[in-house]
Amino acid sequence: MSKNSLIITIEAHSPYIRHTDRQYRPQMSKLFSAISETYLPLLRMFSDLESDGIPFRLGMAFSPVLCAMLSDPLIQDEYVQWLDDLAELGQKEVKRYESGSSIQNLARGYLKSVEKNRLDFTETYGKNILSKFNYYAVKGNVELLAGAATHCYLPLYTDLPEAVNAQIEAGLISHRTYFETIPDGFWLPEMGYQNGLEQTLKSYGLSYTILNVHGLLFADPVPEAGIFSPVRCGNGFSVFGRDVSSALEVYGTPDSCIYNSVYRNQDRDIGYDSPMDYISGFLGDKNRRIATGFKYWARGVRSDDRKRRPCLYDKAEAVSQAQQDARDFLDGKEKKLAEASRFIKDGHASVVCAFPAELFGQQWYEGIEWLETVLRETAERENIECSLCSAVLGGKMLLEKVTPFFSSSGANGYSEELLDNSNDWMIRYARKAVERMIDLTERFPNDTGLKERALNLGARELLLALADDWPRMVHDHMYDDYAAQRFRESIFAFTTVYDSLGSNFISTEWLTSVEKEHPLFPWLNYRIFSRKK
Amino acid sequence: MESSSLSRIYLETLSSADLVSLADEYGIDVPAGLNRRFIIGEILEMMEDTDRFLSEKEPIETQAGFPAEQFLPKSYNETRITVLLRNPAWAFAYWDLKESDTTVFAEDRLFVSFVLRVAFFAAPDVEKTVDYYDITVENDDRERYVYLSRSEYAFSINLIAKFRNLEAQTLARSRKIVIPKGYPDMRSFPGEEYAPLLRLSGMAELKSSHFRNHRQSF
Repeated sequence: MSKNSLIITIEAHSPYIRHTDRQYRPQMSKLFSAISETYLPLLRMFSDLESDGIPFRLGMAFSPVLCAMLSDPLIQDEYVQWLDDLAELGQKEVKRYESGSSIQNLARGYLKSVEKNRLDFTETYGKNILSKFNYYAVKGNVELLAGAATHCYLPLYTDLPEAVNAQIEAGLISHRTYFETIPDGFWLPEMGYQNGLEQTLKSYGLSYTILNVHGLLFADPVPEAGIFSPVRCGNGFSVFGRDVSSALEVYGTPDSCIYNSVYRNQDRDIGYDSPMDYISGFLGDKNRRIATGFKYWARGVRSDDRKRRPCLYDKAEAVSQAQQDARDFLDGKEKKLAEASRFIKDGHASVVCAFPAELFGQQWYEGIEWLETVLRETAERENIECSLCSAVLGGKMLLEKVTPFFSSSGANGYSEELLDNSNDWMIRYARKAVERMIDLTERFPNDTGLKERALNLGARELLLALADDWPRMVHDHMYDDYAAQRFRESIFAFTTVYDSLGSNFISTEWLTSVEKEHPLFPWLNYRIFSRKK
Repeated sequence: MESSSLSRIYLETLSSADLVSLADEYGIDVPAGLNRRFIIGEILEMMEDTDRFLSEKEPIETQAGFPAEQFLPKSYNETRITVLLRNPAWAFAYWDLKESDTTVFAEDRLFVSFVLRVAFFAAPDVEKTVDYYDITVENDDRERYVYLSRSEYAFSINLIAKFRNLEAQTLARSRKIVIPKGYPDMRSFPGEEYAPLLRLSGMAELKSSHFRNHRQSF
């Protein structure tokens, strides 16, 4: 009997934020932290596994805007500058503490990490970390899923098929630009599914997607195998159901393993705790505090201390706990899959554990250790293996036919967070701009020169306005002022193009300045918004 | 929104210890392990009630440097209504009115109000409604969250002008939207037994979480 399959899939995405102005350091810091704490450590882990001959396999979905940012020379240089500023801060930190003290050892370790990140980023990967992920994709270790161009939440646009087509088409071109694999799978932003999306995805040659658990368990009919086998829609497009219990086991509830008291407290950072004059050189112009990665405290408090002071972080203890948590996680999956396989007709059970990339390293410092242990341990076990969605589909002769249910991975499972009182003012402008863009493609089907340049810019700004990052950030109060401004700017830029084409006048100076500010998808052709004939 | 954003920026410059002290000053109990973003959120919420923070801590700025022309239009000068599903039981409707329509209705003494008519259909391609209900909206309202009946197949929302002693006038119709079926009946599932694979898939937990999150909305 074949081994049951554990399918780990990681989604990597950041909003399209690109500035050199220091005032935007807080907004840029999210991407820089992701490179330092997630993407570079993931590549090091892959490299270690490869050196040790571990046959690891997992799925990854890099959003096209993230790919664009990671390959943007301006952002690459800004990241190196960030690392240099961080190294300067780290040197101050090492001097700040008593020589040989535990806290100084931690500071020294973090400084070394910063230096290693700089060396790896600039020398080892030549600032192009995507090419190394591509290497593991070509080798078959990583299955890359394609994604929507600007992480647009598609259920809000299913009645505007041109918008959905444009997101998928630009996403696929982006994939071809950065990677040498042909994607079978498509990552729906926020796992947002509404009936009919499978038709469009299949029409682009895509084979499967992953939906949140209720997309399958509330499907019509409810699949007999639950989430332990993929299903197919009426048109043959396949769907996997995400195992939410895996996610909750790891993160998302107060009892999740990432909150173990020995793990590093990600909320205690010198960026948040130090006096302003000490830290201000590292912050942006408005001195909004941001994380630096210099974190010395564990989540737990000292049990012998009536003042409940925090424990100093002990990396060895935390790593050991992460390895134990990984083994416990695997034991649970192995047992559950074994039990499930007893009831499945072909005797093979699979489970999809989908995680956001930021979980590993950013939300959970020890997350990379945990993941590495999961991949190593699985390779040694007899009844379970790490697999890929495409491999599981390839081994299934018959899939149950269902109509999946409207669903997303949002907190309440639908569109509530992207359409509420804080952000619902955005949708009317975004959808109106889509209608106008479709109209432009009909009015100017074959235009070239300056008009084509303006139309391409309009399409690019429209794609940016469709990103779900802006309503998400407004809802989450995560730089909500900035997100609202970015949305307005993109709609304004699109409207300027629309009005200019009507009046037959456009400022080339303005056009050039916006093109320079957002050099996203330089290959973009506005005709992706055309009605399909 | 702007004033809230500005005070958020100020709060983001404070150290975590200062934030906790400030929260304490406002009588906010900060549980151990609560991160900065949540503490800031709690303080802002409290400030909305007391409305005194901005005047004490920093001057009020306006519009954060947006050029005037970057304001988005209030209207596209067209009469239409659009409806989107927020979840299986709630829809979001937004509409726009031509300036000329607005003027005509404002000047018409017989005009009573605008109404959203939420109409339900029993099957696809059937135009006859099986049920409907009306929501009266203010003249300057442009959006509304609308509750849906789970027992019907599809719905649409019409924007209607109501007149005294005259027939109502339909100004705009939304597209027909199929109401998703399949989510649990909140009244019947506790104690339900599931087949082993559905039990292992977490069906009971899923339905419980749906009950917790949606019992008032579905």
